[in-house]
Amino acid sequence: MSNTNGQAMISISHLEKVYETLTSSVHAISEVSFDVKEGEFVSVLGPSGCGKSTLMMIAAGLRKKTSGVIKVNGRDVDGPMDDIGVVFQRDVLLDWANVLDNVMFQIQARKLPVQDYLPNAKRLLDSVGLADFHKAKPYELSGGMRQRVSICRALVHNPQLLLMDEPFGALDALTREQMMLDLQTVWLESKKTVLFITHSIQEAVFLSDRVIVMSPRPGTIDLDLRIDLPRPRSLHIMETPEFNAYMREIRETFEARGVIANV
Amino acid sequence: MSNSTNSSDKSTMIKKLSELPRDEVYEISFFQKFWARTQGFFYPFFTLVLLVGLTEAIVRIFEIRNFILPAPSKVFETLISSWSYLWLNAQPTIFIIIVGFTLSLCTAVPIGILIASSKVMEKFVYPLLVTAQTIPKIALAPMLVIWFGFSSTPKLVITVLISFFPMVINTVAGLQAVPQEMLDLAKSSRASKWTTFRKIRWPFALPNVFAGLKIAITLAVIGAIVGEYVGGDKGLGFVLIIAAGRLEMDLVFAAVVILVAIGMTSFYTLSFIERITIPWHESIRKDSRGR
Repeated sequence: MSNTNGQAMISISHLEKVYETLTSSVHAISEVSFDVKEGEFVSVLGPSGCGKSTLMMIAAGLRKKTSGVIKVNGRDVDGPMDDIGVVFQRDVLLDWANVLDNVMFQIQARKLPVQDYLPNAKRLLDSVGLADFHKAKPYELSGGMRQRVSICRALVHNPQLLLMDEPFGALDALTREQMMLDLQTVWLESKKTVLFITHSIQEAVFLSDRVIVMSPRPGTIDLDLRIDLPRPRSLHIMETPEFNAYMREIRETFEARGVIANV
Repeated sequence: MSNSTNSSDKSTMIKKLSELPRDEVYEISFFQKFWARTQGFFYPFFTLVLLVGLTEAIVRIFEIRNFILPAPSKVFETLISSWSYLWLNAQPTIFIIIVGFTLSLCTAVPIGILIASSKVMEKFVYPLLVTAQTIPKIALAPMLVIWFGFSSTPKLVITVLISFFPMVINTVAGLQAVPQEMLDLAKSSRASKWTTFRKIRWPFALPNVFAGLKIAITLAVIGAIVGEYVGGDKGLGFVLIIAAGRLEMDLVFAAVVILVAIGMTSFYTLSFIERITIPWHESIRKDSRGR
């Protein structure tokens, strides 16, 4: 199932980002150009410090670019937008609010009518297995459950675009696999455009329609790989030769760049 | 034992447990509950009783005279016999503590919020406040008496001054410690400054604010006493000065006992308010789980 005929949801061209400090400047992103089509699931994969998180923060309107063009839904990004949801590395739940209120924070912050979105919040929580936890406090939940809540929060206002910054990075391997499956389910249901930042090759290949591989600092695009695997994908797909061929191609790109020094 | 019988054993066991009436499973005797809640209080209480007993013994064995160290029994006796005099003088002290602390709270926390939300205030005012904290406020007391006379005013001023800084500094520290990711979340959701403050920054800072309040309330007690030391004709501070001058150490200690009671009551009142205001905070959760 591919989404090749949609129009560009994100369009990035010649994007540059330089962090200036008093003593030095760091070239974080250099000459990055790519488009993400509507309904497409695109992963940006790279080693730590390659500027992939910065890329997402710029797309979310949370950091300023240095130069280049970045458009979301045809409009220049100059600040946070109405139609996006962001999932951060850590779940960033508010300890003083219960699970449902944490999800509804998105609605209150955006000054949307609470009553209209409450059913959606509850439905989302139910769909990720948190039906019995609406009134629970974040500290009563496990790491995986917490990140589920934060995904629900990013989706509750029904945005067209979902930006995810290494959302499963802090989770253990088993929980991570379950989260991958759950995210796929949510995505197949909602058909949102997703920009997914990760440093896990497996995660990227499993989830994505396209994987964009970035080089170490300054981050540039090394590989733009289309993943043609049938959906819905089960975890067993990771054992197939096709899956492993994609994994190998990405790993070889890293090796060529010296990111991984293989023996 | 084969696998299937094993699992059926388990299921009957679970069934039996669930068939038990709820009270039988969960019932804890009143004394167990009482002990669980108060044991943290009893341990130091035992130590205290031991120390008081030891003091009593030392005073009696070595026949230490009253104006050097009064026996605890003598202090207790004075506490009872002079109760009306002590209580009469405790009232103005309590008044100074409560009004002074409240005035301090009502200025310190808003100023803390102002400093944390304004770069200008942070740059121009905050360093001065931090420096001002090092002024020994007690040294100002005689001057305050010259300015404000012998009324309640100089006592209130010294109480406000002495309890003010820890509240400002803790409020600022709490508000500034909000993680960038939380602010990014608010920003990405296009939350207004007010919503961000109300839903994120203020609740996040509350544990720090309470820490400041708890330091400040004990300082407020000291402030009130110092104020009464320097100029006054009533209050427990006044009692302390007069009694010490007459070498009535039993009365001094009785006044101190009342001061400790006032200090502890106000401190634990704040702790109680903290407990119901921020039940989600780590320190409270650990505490209520019991050690």
